[in-house]
Amino acid sequence: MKISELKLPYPVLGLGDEVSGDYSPIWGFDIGKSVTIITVKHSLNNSTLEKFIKSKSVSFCTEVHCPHTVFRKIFKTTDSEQTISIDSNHLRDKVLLTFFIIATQDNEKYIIDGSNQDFGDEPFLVEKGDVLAYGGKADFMAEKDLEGLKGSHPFLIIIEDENRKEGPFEVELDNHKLNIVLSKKDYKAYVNLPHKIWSPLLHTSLVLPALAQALQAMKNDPDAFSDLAWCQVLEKKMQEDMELMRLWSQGKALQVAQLLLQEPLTRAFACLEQNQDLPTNS
Amino acid sequence: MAKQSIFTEKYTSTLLREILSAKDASRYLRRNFSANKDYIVSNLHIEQPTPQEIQLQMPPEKNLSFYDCENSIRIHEAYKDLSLTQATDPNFWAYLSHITFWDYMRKRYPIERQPQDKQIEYITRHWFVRSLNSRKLFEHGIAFLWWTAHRTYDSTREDPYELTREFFTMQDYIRLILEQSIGHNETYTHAFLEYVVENPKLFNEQKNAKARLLNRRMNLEGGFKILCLLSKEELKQRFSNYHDEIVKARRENTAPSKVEE
Repeated sequence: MKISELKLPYPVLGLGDEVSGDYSPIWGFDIGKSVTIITVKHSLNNSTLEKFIKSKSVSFCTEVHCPHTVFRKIFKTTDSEQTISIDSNHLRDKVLLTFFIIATQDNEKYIIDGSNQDFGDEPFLVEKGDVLAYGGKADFMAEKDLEGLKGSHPFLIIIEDENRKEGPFEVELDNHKLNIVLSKKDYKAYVNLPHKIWSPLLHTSLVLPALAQALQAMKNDPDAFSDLAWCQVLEKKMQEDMELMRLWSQGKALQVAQLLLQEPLTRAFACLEQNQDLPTNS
Repeated sequence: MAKQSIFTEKYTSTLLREILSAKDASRYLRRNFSANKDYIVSNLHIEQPTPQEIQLQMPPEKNLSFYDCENSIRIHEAYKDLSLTQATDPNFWAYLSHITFWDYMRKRYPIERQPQDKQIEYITRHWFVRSLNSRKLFEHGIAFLWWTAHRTYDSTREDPYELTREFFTMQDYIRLILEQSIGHNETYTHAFLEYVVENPKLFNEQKNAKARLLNRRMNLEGGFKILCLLSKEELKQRFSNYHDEIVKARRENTAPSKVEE
């Protein structure tokens, strides 16, 4: 529901200046192996809605929607502090939260304190399910380590092109994870390399260009990859870091990639310096 | 009981790459699919059903969807304990479509009937889960069967698959319910199907057109009302508000609607 883009026939707290007051949920989450807990503190400042909450004719609602598991459910409460428990197996990748106050019964004479005078003085008819306040949206990532994928990278995978003996590697963007595709020769060398020692070099030579390409593609066409797990993971990582967001907003995909990989070039130089006498194969 | 075999992530990606870059679909026209056993692992959290438990009915050539309902129920019963996360694992579904149900897939989704330049795309849609939006998930030949039964299963009914049987009476339900964001809410899905089941005279004729009309009206409501909040009975009450319109609905009046929610 894109409620923030709608004009409803009655005033809604949280949509523009339709109603004075405030509805600002503060939320948190904890992903356990079997249960995911979402906690919400519904902070409300409007006398009418506070009164209706007490009389239970309206409810706080948190909608939890996980598109990738086809899971969508509303959790309602009249307590200002809400704890939601969801089976962790119901969630993977991006989980969307939306916060509302909704009518839990019909009201033919709905008037809300602080409504914009454009709505006049006449009461409104609201029905059960109507949105009376909008508290915004949020999301979090429920990353899953599916059986058979232990130790796998959260957003990329390196595979072999069995049809190519040698040649440059390729990056494929239209799968759940970024595919870095190596020729047979390069893949053999990659598999034989002691990764514990030489992983900084691999980050610089393989992962960094792939990640930079992926980020640039995201910048060029934000909607093209939004459903894919790798894109959601990268978006989330950027949202959680102000410096990443700043660079991202300036379109600096390469710098973002380097920050995400924790300065791979610096680490590569340090690795070379430490190991210059070691052989490169096991 | 044996644990469920699945492909490794790398192998699924490799198979997908190979078909996308292949000159033709010949590999998928063979009697058997030869998979590299080095890339088959066990998911220790999924019990593998016995061959008897997952026997699917082969469709007749002239009506490929004839056994979809029955096969949907069979797959769901065989994998009843699958969690939602497990049921979105592309590696699990790729294994089933390539190994366990290869013969069924070849019959149900005959590649030969597709124009040559469409065959590879056809294979990627039905043998693989390429992304986890619901539309792509439900295009996979086996995932579609399981998920349809899962979304329509109602343990409170005498026949818990009664709504599943209704679902398979009309192909439009896939687009009207399964692929819609509102259809991710189980109560809504059940209410919609139940309403049709409980009003046989209303939906006796022009069922497609009437269901589409109802879908359009409810999607308009869903734009400003939290439909997920309503109980099944309350939803059906809202559906019945459109009774007079539904009665008059005819095929030419109802173009398919894309729902934004």
